[in-house]
Amino acid sequence: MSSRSQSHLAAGWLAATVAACSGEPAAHGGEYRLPWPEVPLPAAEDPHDNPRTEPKRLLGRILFYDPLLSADRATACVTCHSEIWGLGDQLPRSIGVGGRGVIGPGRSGAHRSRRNSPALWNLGLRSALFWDGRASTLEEQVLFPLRDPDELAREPDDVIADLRASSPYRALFEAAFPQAEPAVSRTTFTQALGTFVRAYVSDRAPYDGYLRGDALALDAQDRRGIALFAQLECDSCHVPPRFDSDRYANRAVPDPEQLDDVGRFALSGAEHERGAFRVPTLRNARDSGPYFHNGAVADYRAAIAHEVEQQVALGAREPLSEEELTDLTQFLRRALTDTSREQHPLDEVPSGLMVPLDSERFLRGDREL
Amino acid sequence: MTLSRAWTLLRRSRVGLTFWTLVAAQGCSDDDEASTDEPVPSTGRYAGCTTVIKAGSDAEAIQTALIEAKTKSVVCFADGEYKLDRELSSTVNDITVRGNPGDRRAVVLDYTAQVEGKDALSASGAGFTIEHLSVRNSHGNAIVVKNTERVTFRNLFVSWSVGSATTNGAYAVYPLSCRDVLVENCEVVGASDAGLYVGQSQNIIVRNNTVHGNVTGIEIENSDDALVTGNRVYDNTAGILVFVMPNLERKSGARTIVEENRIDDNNRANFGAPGTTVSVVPAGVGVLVLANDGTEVRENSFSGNKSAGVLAISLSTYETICAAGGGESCQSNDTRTDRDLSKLYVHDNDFSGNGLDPDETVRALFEPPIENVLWDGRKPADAQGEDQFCLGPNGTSVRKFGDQNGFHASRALDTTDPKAFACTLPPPFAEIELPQDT
Repeated sequence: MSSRSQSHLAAGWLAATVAACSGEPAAHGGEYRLPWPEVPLPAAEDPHDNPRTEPKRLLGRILFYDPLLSADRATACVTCHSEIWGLGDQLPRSIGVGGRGVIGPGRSGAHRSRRNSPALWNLGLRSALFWDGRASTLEEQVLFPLRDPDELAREPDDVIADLRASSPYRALFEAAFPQAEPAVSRTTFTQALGTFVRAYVSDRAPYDGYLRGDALALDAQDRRGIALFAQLECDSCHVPPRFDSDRYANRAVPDPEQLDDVGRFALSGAEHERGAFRVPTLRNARDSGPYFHNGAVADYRAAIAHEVEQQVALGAREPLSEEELTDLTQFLRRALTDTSREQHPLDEVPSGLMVPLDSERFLRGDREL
Repeated sequence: MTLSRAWTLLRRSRVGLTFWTLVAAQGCSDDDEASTDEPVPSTGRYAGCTTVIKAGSDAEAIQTALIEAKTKSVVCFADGEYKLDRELSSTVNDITVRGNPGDRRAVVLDYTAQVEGKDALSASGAGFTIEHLSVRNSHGNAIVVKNTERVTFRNLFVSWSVGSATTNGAYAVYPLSCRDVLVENCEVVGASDAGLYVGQSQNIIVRNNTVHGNVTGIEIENSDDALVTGNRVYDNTAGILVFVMPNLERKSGARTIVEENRIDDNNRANFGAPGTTVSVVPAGVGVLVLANDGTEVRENSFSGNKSAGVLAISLSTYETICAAGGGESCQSNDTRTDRDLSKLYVHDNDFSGNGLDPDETVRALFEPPIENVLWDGRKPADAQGEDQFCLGPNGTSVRKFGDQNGFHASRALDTTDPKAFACTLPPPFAEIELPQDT
């Protein structure tokens, strides 16, 4: 086995079986070719000091659902990143500690986050996290929502102290980090959560099936949508195969709440980045509305239409007909959706606190086609 | 949480570690390929198969085959029991997952040792078909298909070894937000919510299934254009539910026909998890229609359902019953859901021995013997003058026990004369056509 495929194996068994076991993509039956390089999604590389292991990921998953991480002991990571709502929360801006109601639409409370909850898919491939890129690794990112007074609102050291005082957690940390001394630390805490989030991979969408040699995976409508995507130069920012990039753009997003968010400018001070936000991935974007940094657009088709208008204004091509917009939307909705590695919510957590739950009714509800 | 529970989690993580090491060690030698390299025979047991899963394959081998499958693939299983430690998933379009067409029990997907994921198999591709196999002991739902179209569940057997238990998975067959759904010739035993569930979907046929030992047998929820026919539904807590529930993405359900089913002895003590919606369904109801618009219940046979043959109610009545039964969050503040039942036509069914020994929540309201059909009398506010509830010229024993203001204060105010409901209603639809049902 080549060293390349070994690294894939270390990176994850499914990615491994796809990349290493199926060999080169089979020749496609027809003459159809994508209008950009036909490259499969790469596997995310782990930080050299945090190679992924299954015990780490499982521990991270438990922490993700445990409200022990929040000041009110009722809010957890999952409150704003729920598999029920596309790894977001379906709210324009999230509601953190002190919120009332089940996860998702209808939740209310005084602590609203500054921006829309980003979905967590394929974050291991990114080097700029958050809407303004203020963190560059998942391990670094973890502490921001923990500390944010409108999110979980707890000091990391207090959380670590609570975890150390819990014998089940000590056991879980010792199993996940046998070499670490002490096993429960800010470092191992962030490494476990980072490992868990890195495992949210979307790479089995019909688009990926096509790249693996499934010539029929993209139907005629998808192909029309792809052509439009290229003509509009959407792919210059939403670069295949990730359909994102670590760029920042001001897309003239409506600002109904008059937040006047300066975005990236607050960090870079660069005038051309005033009001600019990092380009989000379009993979699984179907499920993670409302859209844009402020959640100002509820509907995916409307969000796509807004982006199309921007590109038309830049002279990329003439406006789309309704049918063309449908084709583009269907491509993005259908061909870029892979939710096969969604997690199921945990029923209980070591702290004994109540896992923030969607009601049974919300559990049954999902996006409509 | 107890320490032992934490250790269970820990043990699971060790299982994961062992598994991880194994994967890394084995790599991709030919031995761990799930499918055979030999050409698949074009006739006999494997006719039409593009891939055959070898007996004894494990979850990752099967998952690999599902990932490598191409559009229009037919992934077949050799006979045997497959011990699976994790949920499988499929995202490919027009894929068929097939067991043994001659004997669905010859291929068993066994999730007793499941440590990862809750459902047995989830699929999201269009044109997904699963057929001719058994699923045992899934931790959560068995087969889940969401947000797609042309979905077929055929000749499946889904069960849990412990029989009917609260800890079993909620739904056995679970298409959600799908268009063109066919569920046929399946047998489902022991689901802790609904055996066969179709939710927020459109254009649906559920036919010729055998459904028993579940909390509810068949449930059509917030869906349009559903035909439920030829099913044998017995020994569930309640037989067939046609429901509109609040707080879902889809806010209404319309046009359902329940026809030529056998609905017998659905008297099982409710074993739904406390606090869930289903846990307040009274035992002994054959067909429960809740807030659906346009429902026809015709030519079924009902026998021995101890509370009632047909119970037809609005969401308001449901909330009253739910709260009385100890349900949580019974009252909905979802103002967008259509709360009223409209256009229900129950006719030409065969009733015998129903309503003789009602569940206590039903007994609290009605003295046995209870009539075959119970209706709460609520009509949509904008259609008071129209016929909303009909029994046809042949009639059957009936009780209208309330009106717009709620339950009647006294049973003496109830209407029990079938002639009051001798109206007829046109069928909700002529037939359901599915593209995959040729």
